[in-house]
Amino acid sequence: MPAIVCQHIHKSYHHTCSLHDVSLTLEQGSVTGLLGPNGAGKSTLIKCLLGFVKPDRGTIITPAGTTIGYLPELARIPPSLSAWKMVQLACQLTHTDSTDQISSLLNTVLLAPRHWHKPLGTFSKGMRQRVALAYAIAGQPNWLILDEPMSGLDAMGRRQFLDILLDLNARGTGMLVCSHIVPDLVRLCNRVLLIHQGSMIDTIHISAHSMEEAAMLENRLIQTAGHDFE
Amino acid sequence: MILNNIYIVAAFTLREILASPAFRALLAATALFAIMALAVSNLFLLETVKVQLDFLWLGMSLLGAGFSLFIGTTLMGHDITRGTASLFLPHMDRHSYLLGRTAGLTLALTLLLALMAVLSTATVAWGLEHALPDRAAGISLWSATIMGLFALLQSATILAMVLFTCSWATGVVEMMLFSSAFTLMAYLLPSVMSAITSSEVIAQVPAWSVAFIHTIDYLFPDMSGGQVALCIAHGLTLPTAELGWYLAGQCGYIITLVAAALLLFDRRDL
Repeated sequence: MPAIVCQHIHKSYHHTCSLHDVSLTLEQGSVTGLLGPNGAGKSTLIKCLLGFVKPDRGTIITPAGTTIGYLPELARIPPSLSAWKMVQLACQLTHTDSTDQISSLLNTVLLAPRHWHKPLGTFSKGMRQRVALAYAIAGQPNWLILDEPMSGLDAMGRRQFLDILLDLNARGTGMLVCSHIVPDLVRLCNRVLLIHQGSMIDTIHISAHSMEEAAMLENRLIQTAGHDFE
Repeated sequence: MILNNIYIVAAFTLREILASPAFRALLAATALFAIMALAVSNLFLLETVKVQLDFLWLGMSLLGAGFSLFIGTTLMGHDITRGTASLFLPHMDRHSYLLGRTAGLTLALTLLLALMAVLSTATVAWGLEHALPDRAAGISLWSATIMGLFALLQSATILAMVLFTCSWATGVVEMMLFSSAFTLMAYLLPSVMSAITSSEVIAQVPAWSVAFIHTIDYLFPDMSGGQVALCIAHGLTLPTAELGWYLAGQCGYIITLVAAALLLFDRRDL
């Protein structure tokens, strides 16, 4: 499948530039990370890709037949809804509604069957996040766009979540991950795009997925963010 | 496919509203209004059923407006500010989504007012049983049901104003503020208009300003449904043409506002 291509995206809110001449190509099956300080424009870029925000200028080319699953950083889900009902909703929307399919999705995100019919309001943040992932991957999308997927999760939860994402990528799902947690990005991504004040300032290719690469990327981020205080 | 998406969003919306404590409070308030209608009407010796009907209309109007302004605005506001819309929009276009939300909200509103109409009919039945026959002339058992239909139409108009406001406003507070202001203006404008357009005032005012005031009046819906409903409920005759124009005007206003909301929602950032 051809890549998703963004060309020269500009977006301003109330005369404040949020994205400035951003171009990127997302190759099918790759995992791309978006890294940058708060307010750098990461979420705006994601929203542009999803069509939630209309760019002022520039084009986004999404090949025909591309299906995108989205895991938002924050989505208000009715707390009375059960995990089963939530995933069933996603399956209905993607026309894959069946008991087997819902069970399979909940198993994929490692949610124990005893929790399937409990209301989401009683779930921990980690469990809710896994249900949200099951929602996002319903209908087997070619692409997953994840906005801060691991924020607020404990070490165990992050590790489990990463393993699930790596497994999905091994099955061919491409990903665009926006996160502040550098070691997680290094473990997951093939490349990380550094974004600052609405501009793409660097592309760092990850080959070894090692601690050294994580430290180097973290230093680069601190260097970039440090300019804000000078 | 589009209809299926609208159906899925409408069903989700209905489930979401039915589970919300605010809606349950409104459902409980229907019984409270029916009991209060009985209690208040007993303070009047003769016109008990008419007082009941007046009080029940007040209840229906308040419940309908409360639902549209508070539940409608909160739901749509959270959709945009807290990302609920982002759960649906990767799978469907914005029009289907907004139409689904509109259908779900309308269904919940219908449910609320249907319950109120049933309780009101029971209240009126009790009132007719105990009223002096000449004091209940022209009032039938179905008077409250007719009022319920008019209350639904009027509340749907407010809901359409809420949807229109939410399609461009940002933040729940802004949405609620503008929706409430528009609703208040729609209710207050007729009395202001009749004062301004009285013959004594008109003589002092330049023609362009009268035209301007009329234009503003046309922008807001006709909220005189209460008077129409009460005329019918009290057994007074209304010209069919007048009633027809009123109904056509309300339906046209609702359709226009929902269409405008669809256009604006399609262009806004989420």
